[in-house]
Amino acid sequence: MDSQFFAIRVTGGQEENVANFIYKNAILNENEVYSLTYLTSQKGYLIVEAKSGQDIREAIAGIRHVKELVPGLLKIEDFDKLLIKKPTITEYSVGEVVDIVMGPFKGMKAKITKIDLSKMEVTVMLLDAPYPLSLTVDSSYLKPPKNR
Amino acid sequence: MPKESACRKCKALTSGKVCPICSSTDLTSRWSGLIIILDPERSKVAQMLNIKNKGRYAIEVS
Ligand SMILES: [Zn+2]
Repeated sequence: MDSQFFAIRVTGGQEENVANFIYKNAILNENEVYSLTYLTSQKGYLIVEAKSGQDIREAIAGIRHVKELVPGLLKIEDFDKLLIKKPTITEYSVGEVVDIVMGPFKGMKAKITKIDLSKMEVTVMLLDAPYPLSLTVDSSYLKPPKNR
Repeated sequence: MPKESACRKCKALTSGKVCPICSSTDLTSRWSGLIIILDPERSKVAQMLNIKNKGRYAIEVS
């Protein structure tokens, strides 16, 4: 029997706590709950993978900050891209040439000149600009080169 | 409860100094998102992410 995906609505800010409580409950009750996911882009929701809605209803019973089991099923295709890790700032190195994928300089190539881990920012020099132009961006603006 | 750390290699969460899944000591307090795997064999999320062990994982680690 395939697993099914459901969304539950929870109090914003309590997503991780609620997930941990459902985790404990599901083990205690031996519910067929297979995974719990909290995507930071979907505040106020958890995605629960289970054998059935009944397994989830039992696992969430009595847990504070659970508002409702959202009617209907999700498909893994609805959210799988959000589970795949984006390149993180520590994967870049100074001197590396990257593609800019967001903002006004989208599509240009740039060379990394500085990485600020405390601010999670990367400073780059645009390579396609007619004059040396340096800018500091969030790492999500960048994409590593394909041939890496 | 103090915030846990995430393993930079396998993204497992731990409150210790060593990753309980892969034994790495390369841990970080900078992580976000949460995946809890209760049944790695039946979970499609676990299969997609190639997670073989039960446990709690971060989605993004830096
Ligand atoms: Zn690990």
